[in-house]
Amino acid sequence: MLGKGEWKEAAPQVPEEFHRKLEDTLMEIEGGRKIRMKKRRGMKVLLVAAAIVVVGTGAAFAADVFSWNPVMVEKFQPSQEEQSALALDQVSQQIGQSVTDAGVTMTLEQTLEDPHNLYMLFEVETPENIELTEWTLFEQGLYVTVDGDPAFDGGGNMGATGSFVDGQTDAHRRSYEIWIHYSEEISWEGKEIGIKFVDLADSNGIKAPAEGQSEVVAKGEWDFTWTASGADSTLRYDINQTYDLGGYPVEVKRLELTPFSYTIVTDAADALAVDEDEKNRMEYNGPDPGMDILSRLVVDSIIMKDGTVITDAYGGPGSGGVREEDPNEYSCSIGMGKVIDWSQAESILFCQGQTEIVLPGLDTVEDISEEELAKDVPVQDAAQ
Amino acid sequence: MNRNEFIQAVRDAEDSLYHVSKAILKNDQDCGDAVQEALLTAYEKLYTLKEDKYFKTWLTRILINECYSIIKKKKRLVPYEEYLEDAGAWETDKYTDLYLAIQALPEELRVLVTLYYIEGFSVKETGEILHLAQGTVKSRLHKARALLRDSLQEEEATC
Repeated sequence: MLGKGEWKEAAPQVPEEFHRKLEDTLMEIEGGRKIRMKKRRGMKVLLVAAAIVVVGTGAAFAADVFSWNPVMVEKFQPSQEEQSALALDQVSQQIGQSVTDAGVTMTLEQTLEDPHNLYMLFEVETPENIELTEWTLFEQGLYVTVDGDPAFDGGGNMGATGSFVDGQTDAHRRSYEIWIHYSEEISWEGKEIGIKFVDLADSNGIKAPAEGQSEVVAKGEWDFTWTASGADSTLRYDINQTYDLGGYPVEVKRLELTPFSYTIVTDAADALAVDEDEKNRMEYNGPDPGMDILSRLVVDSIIMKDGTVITDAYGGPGSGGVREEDPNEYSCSIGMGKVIDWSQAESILFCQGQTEIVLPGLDTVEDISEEELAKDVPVQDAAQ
Repeated sequence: MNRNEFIQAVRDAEDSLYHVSKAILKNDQDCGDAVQEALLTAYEKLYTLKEDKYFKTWLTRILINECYSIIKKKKRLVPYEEYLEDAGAWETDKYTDLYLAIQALPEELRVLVTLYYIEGFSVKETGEILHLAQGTVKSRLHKARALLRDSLQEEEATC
């Protein structure tokens, strides 16, 4: 039998080339030379005229990489392990970049990213003479750039929401969240995301104020940039089975699951047939799973391997449509209201719980002890 | 952790960094590139590491990200497996049968076996590095062991 200690001996020695590259890099670090600054957080902020800018200091950056901002913990409900794992994966980044203008300090606290979504959480702090109310907003809406270009391309591929987080009542400190969603996958690696806020205002009780109806309470600009990691923790499952989606047979080709969104890709003709038929019926009968295919593909609940059923997972922005890259495929992509460890999910229910898709995966064998794994490795005389 | 401690910790982890990168990239030159990028990224982001005891787990995760980043870039040019064949990455006489059997496992199991059995990370640490639940780590290790047993028994039968 081969004991655990002997595994190490089976592995090859470090080759000279690898050793040299490692030592060269350490020499660079030791000499303080040629250290790349991939993430030049705050550089653009520093260039903003008329704004008093405080770039994240050591203290601001000292937050534990493994712990999330409490507001995001409350919203997405990740376990401590999930917080750690997503931080290590760079799905989540703590930014800690602050900008102060007109006495109002905004801090970009933390981000989440996957190929379809960028989520950003800011904290807004105001001085004593400026109160945050349920009617506070930013006068000029959202201005987001990707590598300097406007993120809104005028097409239907991208949407964004920005708002103060519900339920907070502090008059001088609140959280603001932005969620950007793309219907197609984006490779975010190294892309610089810019967000500009202009003029904090009060809408005087008007939900959707027209120009001139709101009152500017802090005239200023708060400009941020951060670099996306490009982390892609998508679990991709080929399904290739036809399901009954409320009376319509629809071939589900695959599922793409990230910690805070899911994408379900179906046959385009099957999906569009639902929309076409429902459009002609022009009726809606109570428990009907929805008139269009997108409604039928909204997650209803998730059954975990331990038997837990998650029923409140739906919550982020979503999109659906025929894919640009392949017109034979229909893609529905939707953000989740909470972080999901899909590796522990058994199945997903769609169509108001009527349709269950069981996730394929590796065979699972529960309750294997670490001791069992460590001892008695079933390999005989394997090492040369 | 200061700069000197970082450098020492990296040197202590050198074998492990090579084995982990090798499990994903196979090609030694790519492994070297990955570790260079990983070390620079890690040093740049060292301020985010609050507790030194997580250093090796943290650095390994960064290295794995860099390895996949390299695969992604190579795939844009040429299928990675094809690239490896061209690069003559596998000189089988350089490696033990066990190591060759590990490298023949599917990638997700290869990295897992390297982390747990070769590098001695615990199930919990392995799960954190690979973003897998502990139950999943255990079940995949179980599957990997079965595959290794079959593979090595076949090898023995052929000899």
